[in-house]
Amino acid sequence: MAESDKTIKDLQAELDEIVTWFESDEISIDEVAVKYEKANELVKQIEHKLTETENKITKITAKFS
Amino acid sequence: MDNEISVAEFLAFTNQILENAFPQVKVYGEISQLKIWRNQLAFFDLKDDEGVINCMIPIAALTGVEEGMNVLAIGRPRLTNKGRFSLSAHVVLPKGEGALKKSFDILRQKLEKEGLFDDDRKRILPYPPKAVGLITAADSAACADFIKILNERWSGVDVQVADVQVQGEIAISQITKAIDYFNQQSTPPDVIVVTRGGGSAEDLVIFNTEQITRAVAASRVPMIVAVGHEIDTSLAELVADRRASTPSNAAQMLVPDKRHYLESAKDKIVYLESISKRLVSGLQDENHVLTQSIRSLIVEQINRYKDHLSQKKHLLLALNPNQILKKGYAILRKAGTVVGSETELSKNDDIEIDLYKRRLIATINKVELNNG
Repeated sequence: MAESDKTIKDLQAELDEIVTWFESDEISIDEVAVKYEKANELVKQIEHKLTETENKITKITAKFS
Repeated sequence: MDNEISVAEFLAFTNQILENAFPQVKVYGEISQLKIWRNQLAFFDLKDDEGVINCMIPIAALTGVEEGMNVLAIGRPRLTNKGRFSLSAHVVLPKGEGALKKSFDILRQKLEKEGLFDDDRKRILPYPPKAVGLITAADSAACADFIKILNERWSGVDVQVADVQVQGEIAISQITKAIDYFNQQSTPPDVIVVTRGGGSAEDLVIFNTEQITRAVAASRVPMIVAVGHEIDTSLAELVADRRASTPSNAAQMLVPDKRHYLESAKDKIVYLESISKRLVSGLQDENHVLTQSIRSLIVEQINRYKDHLSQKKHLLLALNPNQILKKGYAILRKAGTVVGSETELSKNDDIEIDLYKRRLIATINKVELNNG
């Protein structure tokens, strides 16, 4: 999936995955910096999506009478 | 009219005139003489102190009413084939506080027995949803409030608004059709929200009808119903997956607050930072301990070498011939070779005697054996 197509939920899931990695026994000092940088990037993307994206409101043309 | 016409023609003609004159009438009165015919139609009288009119209605459209109840019957007047004047109703709604409450209780009891209000029917709403079907009056304050709160709280939601009336008998069919519409989409929304602002009990009565309540219960798409204010609880709300007290509350329930969401995401970074620092600091401590231990190992090794060297030095010093000579010993050489116990020595042999810092050249006078 392209980065721009990811939803806030997708980005959040990736962030949570990184947090889980940090809390796990698999944590390795060699990867900490890369993972931390990635987490920062994800938060920036979440912020961007939350502040720059708008809700799309559409009135349905169908009549219900 | 001068033409001669048959009875059937007269009835049809009259019904045509009635339909043109009164496409729809709303008549209120008290229900009496309620009878069910073949489980298809209901016949009843609608009366007040001064008159009575026969009414008929499909049985499915007559719910939550009983004899003695004040109702509003909505339909059109017509002559039956037997020449009786009748009101052919399509909706009958309770009217007045007492009737509304009674009707509510009757229907609530009926639907409760069917398990429609059971907690295990309630589904978990996707949180936050990507797409929402909003059923409300598009130009209402309720709609504006819902969208305002939604925009304040979250982003990127696709909201499709089904513009319907939210009171009056027409709202019953419009809202049920809108619920069906969203359910029948090839990609239905994640959640359907039906909402309107507060109103009088009679304004809100449609949300207690069996039609809307069953439509909400039958929706495959999870539903939030938010009707009126906190104190009003309709049957449609009781049967919905979630009930919200107001349109704004429905929006709050639907999506998280982006400010809190973002704070929480940023808190995670702070948390990761603290783990990283702990990790690095732990490693530094480990390195420090390691360095210390290596250092002490090296010092120990050096000291061991020093001791070793010192012993060697002492040994070398002890073995230094000069040191021995210094103590009064002498080295004898005969023809350049050190004299040992096996060396042949005779009288008049020339020998060299090395003392400390001196050398004597001497001749042997006598050789004796020494047993010591």
